[in-house]
Amino acid sequence: MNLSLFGILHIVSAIVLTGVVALVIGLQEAEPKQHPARHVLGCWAKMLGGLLCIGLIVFVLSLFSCQ
Amino acid sequence: MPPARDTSQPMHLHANPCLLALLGWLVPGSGFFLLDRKYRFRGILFLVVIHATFVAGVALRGGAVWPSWSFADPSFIVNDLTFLMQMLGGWPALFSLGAHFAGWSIAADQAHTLYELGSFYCLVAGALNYFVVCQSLSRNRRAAVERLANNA
Repeated sequence: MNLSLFGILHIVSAIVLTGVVALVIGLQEAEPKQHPARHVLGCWAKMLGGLLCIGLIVFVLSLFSCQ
Repeated sequence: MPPARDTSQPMHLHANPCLLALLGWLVPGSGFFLLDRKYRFRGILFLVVIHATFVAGVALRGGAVWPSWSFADPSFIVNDLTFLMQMLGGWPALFSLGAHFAGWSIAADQAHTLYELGSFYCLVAGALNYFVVCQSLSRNRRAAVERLANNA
């Protein structure tokens, strides 16, 4: 398989799976007065932001790795 | 003539927690069908989402594979924990494991490049089912408490 396609598939999978997780956890956490869809989208955005931060940290740390 | 039911109060169903947990594990999302009617849409949503996630994992040639259960195996923790989490997915995970033992074409292909990604999808489906079962038990307990409060 093409490495670029492999990487894109993993990135798309990360986005889809965080969406699925945000849906389940967000529906549980949503208060009765809150709009559940808005809360789920907010959870999704936070999770993607967290993944992006972790990815950046891993990338920066990899620059200091001894090769 | 039997007395008319008081329809001004919502009907709070109180399902057997063991049955709720077992059914909710076996068929992801089905625990909510034993609760009040207002949770039915949520049950259908979780049923579709979790099944779709597991099917996506199987389509990527992932699935449940019986681990070695050996401490000497360097990937002991990853493989065994992955298996346990996948098994939380209920009947799809049991079917995938059965397919692995039977050698069917739909079984996980450990040599495939997308096997690990597919298995991760199945792992996520199992973990989500765990959360969904916990949610249904929590709603059931809340309904029982509300019913006791209404009867008091």
